[in-house]
Amino acid sequence: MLIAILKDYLRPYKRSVIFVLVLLLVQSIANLYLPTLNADLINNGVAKGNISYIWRIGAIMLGSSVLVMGSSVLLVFLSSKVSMAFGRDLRRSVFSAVESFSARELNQFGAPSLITRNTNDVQQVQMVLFMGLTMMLGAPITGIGALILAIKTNLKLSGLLLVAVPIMTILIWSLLRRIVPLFKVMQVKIDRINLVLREQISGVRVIRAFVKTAHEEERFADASSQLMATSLSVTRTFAIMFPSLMLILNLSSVAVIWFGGKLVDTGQMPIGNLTAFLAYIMQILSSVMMAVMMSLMIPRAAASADRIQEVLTIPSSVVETQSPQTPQESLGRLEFRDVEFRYPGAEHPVLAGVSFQAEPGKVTAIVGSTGSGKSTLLNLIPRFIDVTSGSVLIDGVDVREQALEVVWKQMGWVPQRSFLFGGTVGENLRYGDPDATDDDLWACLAVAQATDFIQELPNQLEALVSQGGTNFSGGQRQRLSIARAIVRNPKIYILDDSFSALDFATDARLRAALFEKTQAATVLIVAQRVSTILSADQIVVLDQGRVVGKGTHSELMGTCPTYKEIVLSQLSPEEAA
Amino acid sequence: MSTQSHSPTPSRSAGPRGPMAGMFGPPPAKSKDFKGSLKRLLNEVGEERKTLVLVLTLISSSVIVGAFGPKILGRATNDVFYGFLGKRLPADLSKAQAVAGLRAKGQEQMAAMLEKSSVVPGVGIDFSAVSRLLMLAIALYAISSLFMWVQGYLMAGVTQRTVFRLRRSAEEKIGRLPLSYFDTQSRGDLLSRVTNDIDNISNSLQQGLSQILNSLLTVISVLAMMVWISPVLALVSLIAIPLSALFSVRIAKRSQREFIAQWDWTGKLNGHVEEMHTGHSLIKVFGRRDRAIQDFGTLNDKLFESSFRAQFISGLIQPTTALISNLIYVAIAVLGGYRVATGTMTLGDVQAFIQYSRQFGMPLAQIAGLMNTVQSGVASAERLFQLLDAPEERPDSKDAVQLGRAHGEIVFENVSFQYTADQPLIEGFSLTAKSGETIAIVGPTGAGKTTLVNLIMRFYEIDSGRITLDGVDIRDFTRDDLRKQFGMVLQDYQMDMTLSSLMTMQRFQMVSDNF
Repeated sequence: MLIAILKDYLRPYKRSVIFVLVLLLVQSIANLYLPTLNADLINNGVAKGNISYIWRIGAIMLGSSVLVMGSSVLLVFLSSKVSMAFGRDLRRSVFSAVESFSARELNQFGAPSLITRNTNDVQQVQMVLFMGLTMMLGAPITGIGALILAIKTNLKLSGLLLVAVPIMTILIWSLLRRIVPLFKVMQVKIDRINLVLREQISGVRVIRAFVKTAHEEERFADASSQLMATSLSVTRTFAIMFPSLMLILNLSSVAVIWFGGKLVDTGQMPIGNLTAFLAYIMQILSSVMMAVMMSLMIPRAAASADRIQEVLTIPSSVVETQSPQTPQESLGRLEFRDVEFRYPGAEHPVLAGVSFQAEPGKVTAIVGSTGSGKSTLLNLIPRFIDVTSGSVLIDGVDVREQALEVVWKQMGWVPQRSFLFGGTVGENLRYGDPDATDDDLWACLAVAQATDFIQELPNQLEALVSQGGTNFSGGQRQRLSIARAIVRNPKIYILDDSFSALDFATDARLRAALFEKTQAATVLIVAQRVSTILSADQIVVLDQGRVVGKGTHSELMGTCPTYKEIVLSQLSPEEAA
Repeated sequence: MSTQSHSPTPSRSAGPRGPMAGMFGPPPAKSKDFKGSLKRLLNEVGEERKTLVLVLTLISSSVIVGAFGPKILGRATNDVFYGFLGKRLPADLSKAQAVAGLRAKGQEQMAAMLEKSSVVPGVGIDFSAVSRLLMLAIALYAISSLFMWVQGYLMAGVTQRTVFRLRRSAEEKIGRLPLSYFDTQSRGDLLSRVTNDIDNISNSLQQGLSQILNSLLTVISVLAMMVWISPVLALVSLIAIPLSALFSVRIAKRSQREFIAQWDWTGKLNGHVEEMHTGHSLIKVFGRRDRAIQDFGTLNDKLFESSFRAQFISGLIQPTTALISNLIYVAIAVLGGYRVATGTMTLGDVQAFIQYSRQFGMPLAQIAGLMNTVQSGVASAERLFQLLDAPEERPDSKDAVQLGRAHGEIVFENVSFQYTADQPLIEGFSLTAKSGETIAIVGPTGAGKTTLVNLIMRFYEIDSGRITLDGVDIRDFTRDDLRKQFGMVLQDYQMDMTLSSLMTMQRFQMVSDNF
């Protein structure tokens, strides 16, 4: 997955990546050249007492240092550009993918997880790429180069590497094998702390009301000490790594001097090569060290890449048609035809055999107990989810055959949870229509019974709304979200239990003003409160996903026991009559 | 009860914002009181004083012992070199004769070098001497590594225990915070302080403390060794310190700015993503998908630019210090070579010196890098201390009235209360609820129905007036005792506030019924 993502998203930056590789090569060669020059300096300059030679080689060494610096700067420039651009592109793809998700995929991942995937996980992959370009790829190049030079300098002495490299690799490998699973355990323990704490914070009222603070503290202490135990094992294992690697490095140089000395003694190696060989072996071993240490980052990044890939590849369960049909007339007539909806693998459908029509200029109300499928039914209209059989039609054409934007354009949606966006009141209302004038907005606010409290705000339409609209009360949010739908001037109004937070008087006033305004539109209302729907032109009664009654209030009182039961649970028989 | 229409909803935190909502507050960027927070953090660590002293001793010994390594290896190289030279000279010649011979041939420099050395003509490499030196080097390296390991092992304990204590006090603190704190602070941010920030502190402590010390000691001891070998060459290397420090600090300062910008844009982007995902269906149905993607693109580009700059600029530290240390390396090689050739220095010393100078550059770069870690860690510590210092609920009075099973008469006497300053919600409210009575409280949205329950439970403290239970001011009970009286089923507080206020109305009846 990691490789696949890297391959796909680095394609536009192929040239830069190749250039980075060339730079790495230049850098490695220049870095390796330094010890060679140093050996040359000692063999031909120092040993022969040739001072002008020493100066000449010194100048070349200086030149190559500057070259290394130059290529490093260019390298850092290109690698940070490429890896950050890679991150940017990946984030864009993830966001666009999520934007085309249906409600089902969104719920499957959950918003918080999607946020983490788009930011944290992308960051992980991006950093590994950056490290890879600047360091990881350089390590093998330098390592192999140094190996060639070491062998060229002295084949016999290079045999030392056959001992040092495996020991080092085995050491790091065995430590990593212990640490990597511990990292996973640690992640789980951190998740656990998060979970306990999140419950504590969001359930603070419940915990205090039930005097459970001590119990919660115990739970937390348990999770916390478990995390401590795991972190301890990780850090203690790590504590062995660095000192033992240093020991291997140092012992290798000791060995070089011992065996190298023997070779010098028997005249098999010039004395200056001893110093050069020391430098090479250091370079080789630190490359091995670097490569293996860096590989520690890879499992984590690979896990992140998997999580990103999941988001990018999951097919949306709602696919827009390639050849959209446009209805002949655009009135907003809504029809459910034998609609069934069931979650994949679920035994019972949420909705089954639902058929009814909602006419323009009429108010259709949907009632039913909690879990009877009311909200699911509404979600089918804008294709947040799709029917599993049957069809939903607008103006005679199946919504799945129409362009999504066209379907949405006709719709004034008021969700059950009134959600406002961060910004100003005006900006929120203009979600309905970006071109609406202030006068338009005020007119719509008046219908939604929201004029009073907006006028009381110091900046009125410019008043700030916090994210989610939390600086407004529930009822105010509902009224603003109704106003937002009215601004859209839609053909179809869909109000999902949108009056619940209003007191009865406001509810009544709002409905009167709204139905005045919506005379030509199709209005679909879901309500818990019976008084809200008494005057609807048509009432559809849902029970466990099936339509058990259709008609006006007075008809249903006579024919539908489920309806009668709901009504009498809220109203007295006199009111219900 | 006043009917203030624009009132904040009491259970604000229960709105539709996702649990991640607040996570995107200002990230640990720059600390306001760096010194103060650092000191306080060190105090926290200081609780493990004995272990710390041991750790410090071990680090120092390890570094010092390790520093002798290259010097000894250098001596071994010398022995090899002299043996090499000696073997090439005829055995019947004395050293003085060999020197004179070289001088006669006009090889003045060679002669000078030979004169200073311990070369014995005709005698090859003394491997027993070399092996003694190498054994010594092995022993020193082994001891140094062993100390380093023990130190790391102990330090892991110090760090993890400190972090555990910090976590515990943060969690206990959450239990003592007034509810109003949870209303004003975003949940995600609070959570982040206890998890992410403490995690960050843990990393800085683990890496920062011992490594900075290690690097610092390495620089000092390496410098000492260099001065011992050759004061002149040491002087050259010494130039590297202020030079590297100057460049690193400059670059780090500049990149710190870019990093702050990067985290700032990350926060803004996160905020946008969270909002767009939470309002997913609304975005679609209101035809705002393209706009959302477009806005995302703008923020994403900003994030790209700032993170690119941050990475690039901070990435400059390494090549800069590398260039400086390479320059020093060249200078030492040239100068050293010159001095060996003129006989003022031995080859082994030059070689040792070169090895030291390589060791010298690394800790300098490390210290520069660690400064970032430490700064970030202290910033996190500051965020944590802010939480720990937040004002707490008034503690329960020590001579609290014992409350067994209450008879159950609740009286509100002239109670006033406001969630936010200057926005009075309840003013001069009085009510008597006798045992066995049902009292229904009705009022329009935002009138304060939920608030009454919050006040009886002492989730919030009233501003004036008093509430009594069986004639005793509820502030005279312990909170736990008081709350135990209400077997109140606080249903899902996650649910939309509006629904809960409806339920509250019914619940209030329930509560009164119970008395």
